Amino acid sequence: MKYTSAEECITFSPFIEALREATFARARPNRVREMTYTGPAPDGKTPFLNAFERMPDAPYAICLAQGIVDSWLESPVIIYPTDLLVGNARPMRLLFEHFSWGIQYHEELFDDPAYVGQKARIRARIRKQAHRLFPLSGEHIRSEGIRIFESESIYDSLGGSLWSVGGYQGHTVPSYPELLKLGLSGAMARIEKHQPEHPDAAVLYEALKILLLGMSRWILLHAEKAEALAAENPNSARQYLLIARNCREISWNAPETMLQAAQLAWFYALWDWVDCIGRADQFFYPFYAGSADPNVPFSHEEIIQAFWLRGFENGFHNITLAGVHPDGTDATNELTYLMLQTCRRLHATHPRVSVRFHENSPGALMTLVVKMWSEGMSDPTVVSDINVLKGLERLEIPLADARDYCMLGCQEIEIPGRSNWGCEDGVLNLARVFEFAANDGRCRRTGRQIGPQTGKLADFSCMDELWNAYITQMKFFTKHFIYLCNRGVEIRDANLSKLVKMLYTLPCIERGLNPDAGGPLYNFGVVETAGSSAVADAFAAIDTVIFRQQRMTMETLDKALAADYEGFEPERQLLLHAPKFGNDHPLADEYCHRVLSTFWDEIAGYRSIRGGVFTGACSLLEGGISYGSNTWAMPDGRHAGEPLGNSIGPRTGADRNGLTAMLNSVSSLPLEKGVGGTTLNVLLPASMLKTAELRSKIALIMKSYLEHGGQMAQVTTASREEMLDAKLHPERHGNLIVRIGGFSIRFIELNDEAQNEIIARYA
Amino acid sequence: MDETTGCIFDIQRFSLFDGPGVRTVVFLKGCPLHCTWCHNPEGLLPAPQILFRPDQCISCGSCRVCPNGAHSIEGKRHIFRRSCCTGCGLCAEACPSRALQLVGRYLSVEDVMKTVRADARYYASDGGLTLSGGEPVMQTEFARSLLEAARSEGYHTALETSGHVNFSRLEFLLPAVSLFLFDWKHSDEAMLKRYTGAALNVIRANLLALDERGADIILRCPVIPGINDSDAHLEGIVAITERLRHCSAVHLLPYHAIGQSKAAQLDMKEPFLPPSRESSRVDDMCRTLTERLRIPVMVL
Repeated sequence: MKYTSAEECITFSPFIEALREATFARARPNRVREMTYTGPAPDGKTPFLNAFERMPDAPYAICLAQGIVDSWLESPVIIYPTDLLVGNARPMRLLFEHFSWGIQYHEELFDDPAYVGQKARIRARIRKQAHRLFPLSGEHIRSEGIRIFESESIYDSLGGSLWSVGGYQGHTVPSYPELLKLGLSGAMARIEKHQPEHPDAAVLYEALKILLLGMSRWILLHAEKAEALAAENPNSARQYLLIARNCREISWNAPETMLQAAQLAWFYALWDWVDCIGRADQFFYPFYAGSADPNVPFSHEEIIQAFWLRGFENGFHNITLAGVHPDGTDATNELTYLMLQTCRRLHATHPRVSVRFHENSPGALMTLVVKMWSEGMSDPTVVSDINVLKGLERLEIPLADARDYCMLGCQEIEIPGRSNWGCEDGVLNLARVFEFAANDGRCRRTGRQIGPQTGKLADFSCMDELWNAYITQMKFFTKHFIYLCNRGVEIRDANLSKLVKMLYTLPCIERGLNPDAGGPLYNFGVVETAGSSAVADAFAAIDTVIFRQQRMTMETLDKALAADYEGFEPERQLLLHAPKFGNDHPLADEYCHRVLSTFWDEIAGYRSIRGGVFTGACSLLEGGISYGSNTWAMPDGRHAGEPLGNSIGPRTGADRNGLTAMLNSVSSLPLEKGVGGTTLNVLLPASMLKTAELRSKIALIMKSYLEHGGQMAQVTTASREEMLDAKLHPERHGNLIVRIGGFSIRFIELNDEAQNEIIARYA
Repeated sequence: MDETTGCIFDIQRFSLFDGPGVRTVVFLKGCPLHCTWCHNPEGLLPAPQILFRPDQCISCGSCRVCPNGAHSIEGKRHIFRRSCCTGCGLCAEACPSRALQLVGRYLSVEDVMKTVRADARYYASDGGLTLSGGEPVMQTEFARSLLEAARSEGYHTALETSGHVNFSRLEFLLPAVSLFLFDWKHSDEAMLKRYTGAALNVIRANLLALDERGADIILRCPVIPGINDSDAHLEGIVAITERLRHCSAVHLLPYHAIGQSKAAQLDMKEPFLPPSRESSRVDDMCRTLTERLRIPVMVL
């Protein structure tokens, strides 16, 4: 098979090299999408407002669909001289549609010269149409929250500290296989066929037709533009005419060649906000392996790489590679390796890539992945088919479908093309739940009673009593949390936030239901947790220091916590040195298991109003820091405001027994109950990956982890910056291991001189 | 269950550099040498010791549990009278901040095996247990029991040794060892004596005898600027390696000052000499050795 070598890096053809240079040269950070590269500057237009004003009596769905179509049609069609695949993001605008909330509004764009002169006028127009533009807003959740807690200030104090309710992303993966099999006309045929069965959804179907016809028209605009460019530039006419012909062929019908498939997928991805696309090495493979079009002077390799560069420029969130076929056989193919090698050669932050592993994955695949880490990439993420499939089985998803799972969002999981799992419906900070359990249901900062009165620390005479108090608080807050998350689903549903996705999310058209109303086949809810390891460490510290060793009383702990350990340093030190999750220590690991298991069992008793039960996830990339900043001191010795754990992993710096111990701790967790996706971030010093022999050892460790209970891992190699930070904040970097003189040693244990020496060596 | 106990000062999991595959390294306390560059001074004495890090001390006075009055707090200053210390470890247990730590604990073979077993899933066919130190051969009975226990569970076994021991001990361990990581610190008798206290003829004879008996060997050479990074020692490494039939690789270990901070925490002033400030020749030596020898040479 081609492209499998981890030793040689591929080279780009002169054509792709030129395309790469041009793409990187024009890449610019976008204000609307987080740190991804996309989109021209704002142009001051208001196609959404225009659509709603032009059709004052039309239903929301029609105006939304027309607004989307107009947004694209009113954007300039740009074809760069280096282009093979065409289609660019739209200019940034005040109002735009998005799959998270429906129509979104970006006030800060008023500062842009394109909008600044029309500020007052546009504001007045939006005010007039507000009830039509935003059928439901975040206020829908907030008013319910205030009703529950009977206080505006209490409810507002919980946002961003106890939870985030109602979701804010809503990633799903539409069916690219369906899109490529049937083209735009196929979706229209499905609409025509099923519209008569659902008269109540007539408006929705009309909206979908507007989208399809609009998209088709927009694709033809690219053909027309390319033809005009061909006329103006006789020297490049061949290339422009190729683009024009390719666009015309897919403007309505299904693609037949690699170039057509890549172009149609890219056009639709743009309309889908360049959200996640699923298993690209699988759905492109039939085209890739098919015979070359004699009229196309580019290889399939070049076409795939051109697609990848588009994904870079516009920030594809997550692409999934490898895994198994529906019959369980290995699905790794030549395209898997080509995409990885392309990713490796580009060495960029996007597209982010996940690779699925199973018992029979080829050894060369892991070797290549580890090689990419060794070159300083944190992609790809590795995912375990064995353990993800166990979780999907618990959700009673048929095996053949389960085997088709993909990664999306940060690191969530779903069955592509037929799911809406909310991704994610909300986040609950378990560390704050513990804070209430350890203080009679009161907030430590304000003293206000928010949770039920379950007793103060000094009232508990054994671990069971404390545990029961925690469970009572957890159930109380989970009930309200889930309730409010479901109100978020109502917003997405009312706002038709996934109208574009609906076209190719099965079987929405057949059911006449949008993806937020239960249209897809799989409608589970996914909620994330923050703070699970901090809560486990808190229980382990109390169990050890207070009940087993009896070196402190609950009264003292209560005072120490109330004072954020001010004046209680010896006590804090005792607690800091109690067992911590992430060290293969049975006590701490068992508490983490219980904390997650009880929460995930609890949410499994609730249903998303989309239809399915809730499952857990934990892939907060920065969440451990932001939720930590709003969480009071914990009994594990953590001061108020310090970060919580990083996703499913231990509290930063708490793991001190090396990688294998940490992997054992994490893989002992009931991750099959958190099949929404639980990320583990692993930090390795670059020197541990520098030879092929070392890389084979790391590959063996990761393979074994994925086969023995691990769900996924994201590997980062340690940089000089982290070492500098470790000098300033040693408590955060207990897990930073460096190599010196034949030894592996924790960086923070070295004296100043030794640390400086290593930092100098890294520079 | 094997109840033989040994004095252990550290167990490091996830070791990638001390033998093939992924390994767990058990550090046995006590060493007959006193290398001036010693990386693990806490492994020198055979008995448990208290390691004191004044920068971690919060002056709480918990250490006054000492039955011999070795600790006192004067103002904010912690006075540790090491001469009164018997290494019982009570102060370390009481110390909340771990400014005081006990290095050296008596563990049974089964205690150690519990930790070794925890990583079994990562060993595959070539990973396993490495004994290091100190000089692990000093605790001969315990080392043998531990190596046998590991081998009986299917793990690869490696032994790191200075070679400065009675050969009968090495011979006793030989059947339980899959690989010897054999130190070759200096090729000049007088220099070796001066910087490590060891006798070259003992080490050389033991190395050759192990080779004679067919033991698999990797030669490990610390490279200490100004002491053994000379061309003469390089020739010495070549000469001894060429005499060995079962030496599969040479590892060069660059010097690092790590031992000095630990020595200070143990109040060991002697015999640690500050090494010369010359830059390391280790990469040059690696290149030359790679050209001269027909086996892999690498810098760890």
